[in-house]
Amino acid sequence: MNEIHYICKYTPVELIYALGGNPVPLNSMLPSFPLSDQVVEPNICGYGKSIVEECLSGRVKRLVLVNCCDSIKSVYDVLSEWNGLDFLFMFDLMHTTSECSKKKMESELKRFLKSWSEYGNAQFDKARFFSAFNHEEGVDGEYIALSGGRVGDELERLARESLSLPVRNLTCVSSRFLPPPDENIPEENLLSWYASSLLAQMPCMRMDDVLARRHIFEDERVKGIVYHTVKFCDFYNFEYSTLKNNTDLPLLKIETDFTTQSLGQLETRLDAFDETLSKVRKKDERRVGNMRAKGYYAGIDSGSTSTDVVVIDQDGRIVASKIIPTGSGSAKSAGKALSEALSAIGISLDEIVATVSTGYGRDRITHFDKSITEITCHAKGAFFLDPEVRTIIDIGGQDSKVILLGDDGEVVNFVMNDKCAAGTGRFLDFMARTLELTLPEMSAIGLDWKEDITISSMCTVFAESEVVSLVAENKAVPDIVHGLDVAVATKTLSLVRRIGGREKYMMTGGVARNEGVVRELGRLLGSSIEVSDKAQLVGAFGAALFAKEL
Amino acid sequence: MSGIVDKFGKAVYSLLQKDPEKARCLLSLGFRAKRLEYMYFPGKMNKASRMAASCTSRSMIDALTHPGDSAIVSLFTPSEILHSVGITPYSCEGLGCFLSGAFLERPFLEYAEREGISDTFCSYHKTFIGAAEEKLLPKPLFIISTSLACDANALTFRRLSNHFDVPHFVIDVPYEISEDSVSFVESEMRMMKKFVEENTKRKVDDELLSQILARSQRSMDYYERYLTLSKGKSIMRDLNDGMFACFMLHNLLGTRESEEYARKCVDVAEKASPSSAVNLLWIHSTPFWMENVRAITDFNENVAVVGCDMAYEGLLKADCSNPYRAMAERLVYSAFNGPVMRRIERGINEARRLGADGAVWFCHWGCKHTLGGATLAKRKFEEAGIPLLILPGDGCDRRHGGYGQVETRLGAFVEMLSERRGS
Repeated sequence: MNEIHYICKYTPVELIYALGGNPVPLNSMLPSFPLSDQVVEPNICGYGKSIVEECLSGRVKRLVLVNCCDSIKSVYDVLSEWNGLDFLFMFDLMHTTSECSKKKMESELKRFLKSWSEYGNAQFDKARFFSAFNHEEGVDGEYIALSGGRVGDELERLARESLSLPVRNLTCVSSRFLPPPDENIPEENLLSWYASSLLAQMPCMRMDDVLARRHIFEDERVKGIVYHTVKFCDFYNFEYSTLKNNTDLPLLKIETDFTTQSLGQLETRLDAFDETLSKVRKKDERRVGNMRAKGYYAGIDSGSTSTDVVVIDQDGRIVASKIIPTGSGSAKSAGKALSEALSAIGISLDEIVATVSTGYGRDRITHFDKSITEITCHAKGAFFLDPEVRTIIDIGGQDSKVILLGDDGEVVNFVMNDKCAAGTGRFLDFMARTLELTLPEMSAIGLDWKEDITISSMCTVFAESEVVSLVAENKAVPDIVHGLDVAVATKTLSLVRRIGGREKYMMTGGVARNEGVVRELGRLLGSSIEVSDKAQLVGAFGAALFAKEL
Repeated sequence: MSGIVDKFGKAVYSLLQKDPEKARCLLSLGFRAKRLEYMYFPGKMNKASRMAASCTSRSMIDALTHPGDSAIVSLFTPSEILHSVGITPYSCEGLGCFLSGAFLERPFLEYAEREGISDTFCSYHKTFIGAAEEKLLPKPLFIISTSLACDANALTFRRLSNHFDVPHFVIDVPYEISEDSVSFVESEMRMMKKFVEENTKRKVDDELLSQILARSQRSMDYYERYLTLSKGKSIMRDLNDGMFACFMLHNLLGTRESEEYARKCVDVAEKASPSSAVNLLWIHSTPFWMENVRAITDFNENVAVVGCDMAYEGLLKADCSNPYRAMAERLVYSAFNGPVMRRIERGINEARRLGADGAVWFCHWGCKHTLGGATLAKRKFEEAGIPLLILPGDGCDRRHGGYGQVETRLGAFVEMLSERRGS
């Protein structure tokens, strides 16, 4: 009854409650936005689209907005025009917290009071107002700070499930805290006090003065930061840009489009982040591993394009390997790849002591002993092959990732591309098809370039049209391919720079076989890049090494 | 020609890695050469456009060569107070266009993205941040920005204030369109006066400021007259015209050159012969770097971009006896403030005044205000009988690509309007 949804921490939640409303934060991630896409252009933030979707679908009847950003203002425009809600209100929140801004907030509170009272025929209940103030969320001991842009309920739940330490959501509405008023405050001063109190909260990045936000990261109990940004919301990338250079805490940067579609990929990252935080467990694993009997160990990397199997003996030597297309089922392909690898060297499945799966399909291969993320497995495999490696650049079919290793081969930091094929193997695959080349041909032909052509677009679709235009202009194919190599290398370079990649570099994944890309990336890095002959098998190899330690 | 400029841009960037001071000198030399071209070899540009191009170029040169007398401002910052004490304002949109014109935007965009700034952030702002942090831009005296129309302002200017370690003043513009909001901004404009006095050690003379505001008003009146007179006239224009008009009527508003420019616009319109071109109203900035688009829009007897909302959004009648309130009114009553319907309605009215056959709603990548209003604008314009093309693109970033797509969409839209006119 009288449920009223709100989106922002600056919303006067206590006032709504005092007026008989039931304020509910609107914070769910949706799978897609079919209704919203009919009335809003696609390139605004997913959260804005989720609000429109919730309203148009009838799940939200009453809504209080704050003019947080241009996207939310657009949401207000669209919903005002639609005129299908029972109640819609938008607060005009200033960016500064000056005395003038406080007065403005007070007048906005009065405007809301009038508007809601007219709608619901409600009266202000002082006792209800005082009872609406909650005490701050208590936190005992160490925790992981979930910070940055708004984190939806589903992502928060995933973070809590994936991370071993307690998680504290410090984003947006989830970090709302107002101290209760003095009980003796005169009623005529109550709104003025309330306006100041609302503005005195921990500021979001939309506000002018954000200095107080440093307290989020200075709390000694914070043992790691999961920093989230929402695609098409630019505010928090600015904080991340500074934070990444100024914190010693383990930091995981993730981005979503505020749909549930990318939660699978995020689970991999969160699991890997948790693995980097869990060093104690790693030592225990080693100890147990040494007590194992003789035999063989299998690692399987179930990727989006290929399924790779490596079988090693007790000394860590590769005795068999197999790469097959993943096809339609991860588990089926895994079984097939393993049995083909084993039959090639005449070993039976019984002789395999332990198995570890990795890659996107790792959790669907249920008959393996353990699943570990490909980030940790890549680190393991690459460091075993060359202990001098400190930066692994892995470009696979749909992912680009850069993994930074410590001196003991542990994962210190990592970064992945976000839900975009730009700079991945699929981008090159797409372009090869456009140029009617096979991937091996593409790898070689780009080395023989003469004219330095710049491929401007990183969007796969636009780049294809650019390539078609260049072909129409009779540009030489080697020159176009070289331009594509440079484009991929440049995109990868930004990932390397983002986490402070350092020598020695090793490249893994399918794109490591593209000599043109490797050469251009080496040039941009000003360093040579090691490409192992096992470049595509490093993930599976790392998994096999982990199997040996089980 | 673009090949030479491309080489010039690469030379400036290469020099920047070794000696930023020399790179800045080389860039300002390039801007000077471009200014001479505008003045003495203007091609088909009309005399008002030439003047706008020349004045805007000069303000960019001044920003690079006299940083102690320059301030970074957001595009919609009222700059009359700065002009009254001899400070040159320059915006990231202005300099972003010039850097892109010099084929220099790409390394700065890549720098900003490497630093973690998102690829969905406005490319003018990213170029500007890259140029500042890679030391191409000199340290300004201070920074002033408004919250009007653009979320990027709050982020870019706060970051640059930290980077340069210079004071930053924010004019916070309420969303609500009311006289109370005008009073709110008026008090901020008075605080801005103090901020400027403290940071320049120069006294702002209120009488002089009133005179400058009166000049601003005359410039806006002339430009209004030009818009009315230009309907159905054949005026030699290109895609840059709207952006140059925008710079002349914002950061340079209040200068003698701005008034002279607006007067020349009237003169050009009065002397122009009738036109039968397909007329387009352009919403937001223009992708001046897309030569294939310019092949459609520039100096074309059959197609003309007759207006740009970046230029006319703030035109109004104000009482100049109170200069602070007059400046505040321009911000609060801007077509970009408040609900997007204000921008749409202003666009529809201007399209009618200018005799536009259709409108192009250019969704500059990164401008959430424009993107967010696009679908609603299309419906409202078309309900008013004015076809509208939603055209995604980028005003500054060549990497955005989409040459073929943009050309096809715009070309087809023009063909559709031609046919509509014929039927």
